[in-house]
Amino acid sequence: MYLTIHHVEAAEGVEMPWVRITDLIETNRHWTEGIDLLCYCHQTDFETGVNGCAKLRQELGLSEVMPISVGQSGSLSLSNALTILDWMFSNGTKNHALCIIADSFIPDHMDKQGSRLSMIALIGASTIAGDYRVESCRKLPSTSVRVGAKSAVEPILKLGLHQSEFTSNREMEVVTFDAGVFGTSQLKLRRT
Amino acid sequence: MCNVTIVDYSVYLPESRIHVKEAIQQIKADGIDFQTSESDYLNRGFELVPIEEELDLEQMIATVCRPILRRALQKNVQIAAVMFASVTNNENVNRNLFDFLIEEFALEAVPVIPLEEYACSTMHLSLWLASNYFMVPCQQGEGILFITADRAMNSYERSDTFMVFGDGASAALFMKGQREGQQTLASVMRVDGLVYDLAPDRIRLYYSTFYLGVRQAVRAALNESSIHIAQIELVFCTNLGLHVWSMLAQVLKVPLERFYNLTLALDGHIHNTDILNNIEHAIRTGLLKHDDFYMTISVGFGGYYGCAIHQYVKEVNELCI
Repeated sequence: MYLTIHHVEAAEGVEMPWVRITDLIETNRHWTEGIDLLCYCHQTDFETGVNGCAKLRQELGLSEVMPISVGQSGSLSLSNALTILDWMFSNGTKNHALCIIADSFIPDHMDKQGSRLSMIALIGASTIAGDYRVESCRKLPSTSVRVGAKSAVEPILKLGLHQSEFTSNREMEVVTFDAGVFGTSQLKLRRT
Repeated sequence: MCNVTIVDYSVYLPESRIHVKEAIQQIKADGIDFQTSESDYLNRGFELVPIEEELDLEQMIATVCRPILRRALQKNVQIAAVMFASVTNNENVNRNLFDFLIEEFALEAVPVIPLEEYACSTMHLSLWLASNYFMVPCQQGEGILFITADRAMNSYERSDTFMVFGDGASAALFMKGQREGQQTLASVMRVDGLVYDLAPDRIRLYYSTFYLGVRQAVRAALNESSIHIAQIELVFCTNLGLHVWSMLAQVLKVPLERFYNLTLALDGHIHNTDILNNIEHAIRTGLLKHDDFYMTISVGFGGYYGCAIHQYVKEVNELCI
């Protein structure tokens, strides 16, 4: 599987990031061209009672695309989503997906009233081409710690800013998804 | 072609039950605008609601998983992944519901994947995902564990204004083409995903069209399995009430009597647990017999429809090998 990190951001504001996400995708329609799957991952709920994947799928006019929503995985959200995508890609009937990983929350240190920290990552997954080839994606058998990750986007911000841990192989980027309550996982990516 | 066998399963329902009238009165007292009168709701076949009073969600999960994982360990089954569905309790921030199990059964390296938004159809989503996983060559003896658990903590989790939900948990172990167990001949998911918030027009649209989604899923599953609907002995459907079943029976041209209805009154609707609870009940009562073809149908609120065609293979006659 190949990944292309289309966009990653963390921004402060008072609005929920729905409009920001749809705007980003509307202006970059090639991200959704030919996709078979729309994958939505989150740790926080923006709004109680709102199904994020179904909402974005409807608002973006992607009703032919199968939705997959992964939650309650903390920083392991992307690696859990990639596990599912890998299953669906492996039989050859599905080849492209757009992953939307998004969280919005009021951080402990935030001074301004009502201000939220919103994090968004938009990642293309494909069986054919992408900026990175996924060398491995696996959960590590380490024990979990009792502190949860605030956002499913945090580890991807690291990757988007190319601050991932380099191995001795300069072309390989290794992202370790921090040990939170859900454990640790590791994603090894090779630049194409 | 689907090639998944449900090799093992376990269902846990709390013993404590309250009458559905009492449940409706309680949720109304808590400010929920329940859409159906008590008498209409009783006419749909509902009577009691299982209420968990002792175990927390993590203990409910452990209760259904322990026997399956112990048997899996004895048979050297490697758990490749865990898929988790909880319609009621999707906000467990900073809490890992699987800590005890992971430690007890050394599952630290096994991904635990909570699937959301498919509501009461997540069981079929998991079966469908597992069938994708098993379609490619994988190691012999690998299994995927499906777990579902719900425990309402307040009236807003007890009801969505349309239905009253009971508490319960269940789990099933999926493996690639085993000779004994619940054989799955076809597994289909259809998604409308019409409802994503509480907008009344979309909810109305969903209620007036959901049977079409179910029909599509059922037709696709029958086609895929080359089984004729007349060969289906029993239909195990989400416990949505007699009014929904009658409508589906008509649309699918299946006699209503084929819908397995023996858990509806006493257990009511328990999200993703209904189907495994019904199968377990039918095996216990002897109504599901060796070699029977049966159909499972799930309806997830908002437009998620799952259907699978199964055959119950109770025990393999060694002489037939």
